[in-house]
Amino acid sequence: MAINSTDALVNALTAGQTTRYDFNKITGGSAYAIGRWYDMSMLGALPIANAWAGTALAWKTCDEATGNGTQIFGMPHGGNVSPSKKHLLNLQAWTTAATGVPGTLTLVDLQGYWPGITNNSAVAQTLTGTPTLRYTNGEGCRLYWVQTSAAGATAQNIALSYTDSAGNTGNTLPVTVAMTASAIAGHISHAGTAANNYGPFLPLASGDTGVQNVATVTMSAANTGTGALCLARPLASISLSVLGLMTEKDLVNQIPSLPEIKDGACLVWLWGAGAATAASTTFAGGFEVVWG
Amino acid sequence: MTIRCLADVNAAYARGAFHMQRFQKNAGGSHNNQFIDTSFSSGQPAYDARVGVPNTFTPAIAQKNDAIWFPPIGADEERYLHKVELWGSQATFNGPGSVYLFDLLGYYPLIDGDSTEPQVFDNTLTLPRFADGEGVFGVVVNHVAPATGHGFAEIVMTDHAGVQSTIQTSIHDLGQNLVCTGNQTSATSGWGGIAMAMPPGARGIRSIDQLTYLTPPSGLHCIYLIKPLGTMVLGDNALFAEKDFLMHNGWRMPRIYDGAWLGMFENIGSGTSRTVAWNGNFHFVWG
Repeated sequence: MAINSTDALVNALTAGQTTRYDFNKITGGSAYAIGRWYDMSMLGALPIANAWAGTALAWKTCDEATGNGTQIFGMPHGGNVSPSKKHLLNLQAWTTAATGVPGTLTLVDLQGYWPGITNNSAVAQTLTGTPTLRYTNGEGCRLYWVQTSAAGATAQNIALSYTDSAGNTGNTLPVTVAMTASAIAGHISHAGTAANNYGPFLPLASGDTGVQNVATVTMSAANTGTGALCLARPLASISLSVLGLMTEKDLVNQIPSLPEIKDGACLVWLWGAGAATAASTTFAGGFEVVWG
Repeated sequence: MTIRCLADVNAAYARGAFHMQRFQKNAGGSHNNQFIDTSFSSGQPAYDARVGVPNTFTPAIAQKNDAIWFPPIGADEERYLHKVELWGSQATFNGPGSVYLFDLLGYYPLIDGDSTEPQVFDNTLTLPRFADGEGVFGVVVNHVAPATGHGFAEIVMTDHAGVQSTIQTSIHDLGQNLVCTGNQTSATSGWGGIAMAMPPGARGIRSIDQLTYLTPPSGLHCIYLIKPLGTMVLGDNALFAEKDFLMHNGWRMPRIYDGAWLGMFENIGSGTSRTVAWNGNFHFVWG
């Protein structure tokens, strides 16, 4: 029975159609800079780290059960429930480092990524494969670039040719988007406080509401480093404000409430650093889902 | 009858199918932005050092008032935790802070922190609740004898699907009676999380089968197997904190099974220890 009323929600919960997963992640050996966003899927602990398996430039689908086919790195949420629908119910999160606050955790359903895109090129790099998406035509899905190995010191901008959720091909980013010179591994390289930085997601052309495929990636100058272009659906965010104080979020009493978690969703966190975050900072918490 | 809608909750209260159980936990050990098990404080329920036969799974089944007590219910009824209230006994609340509520399913006590030999765990007794381990997490606590350094362990466990796998994780040296679950890939610091590492794809732990220290931390450790119930956030000094799971947790009241051993990890956000007693109430409803 679909959850379309408070009574239906209570019924699903008391019937046991709910589960919880706790996560425990620690940042790496490099500090995070204020105002920048970082991918947390490649951090170790619980669940395990994403090592961006795959063939360079070829689409790699991600899901709950198999991860990227090599690392099962998404946070488990109880398996497939179709024909029922699963919803995100609650979030809790905390950090234990003074430099871990303030900041924002954003939960996304990572549809997949194109790995092994080099920063060391100034010509168009053609991406291959057709994404299999959990959202029809990529509606609501957004792109972000994760630096998977550190970038060199050369300034560069990123340009794309993508297909929007309406099926229009050849769309380009509407503005100049600057990558971060010397970005560390894990940095969503276009997200920061410098001129022409945007984040956590790449801006879309006017009128676009989603992305279903990307044809090419072009850097404005050759640099060193490698990255992955990710396609994900944002689901919810939770802010951390006070050292050691857990933040709780009830996702029923907000609009839109109860974000849907699709069968197979690969749940990962992105971290928006509101402070210079020291190396080896722990972020932990949990989430609860319900289905009906 | 069971609780399946809001009217059922109100009806349960109307017919008296509820209970408020008080607790008091006296000042605890030193901890600074770390989680500590309130069972390591005197009060009511009483102090519990989680001891037993070393490396042997010891099921936790609440008896009388050794944990937060709740009344028995009929075989056709279900019991839920509706609300928790918590406040300090003095103006110095030692807050703000965070509380993590759990059902302790059992534990492996007195794991030797000096041994580098494989320590095979005895699982003759099994999980008393959530038998397949779905949603059950491991938590490492340093108890009885303090660690002297960060450790690194290789742990064999069986997950919720019955698959046995091996993981490696750090065991942090934070202080006696504190949660020291690791999240590093070597014997280095990195404290703050509660849930220990699990194999890829695991949705819970059915049993811990073996532990081998690659870097021994010394001291004695205990691995809990818990089912998380919920969380609550405490306010400032002398401020009564209340968590209504129905209203403030997406209508999700944790179900409390017969024998549930209700415990709390606490983490105060200021100071280095909780110097005042905490009092509170657990409100149960059933139907």
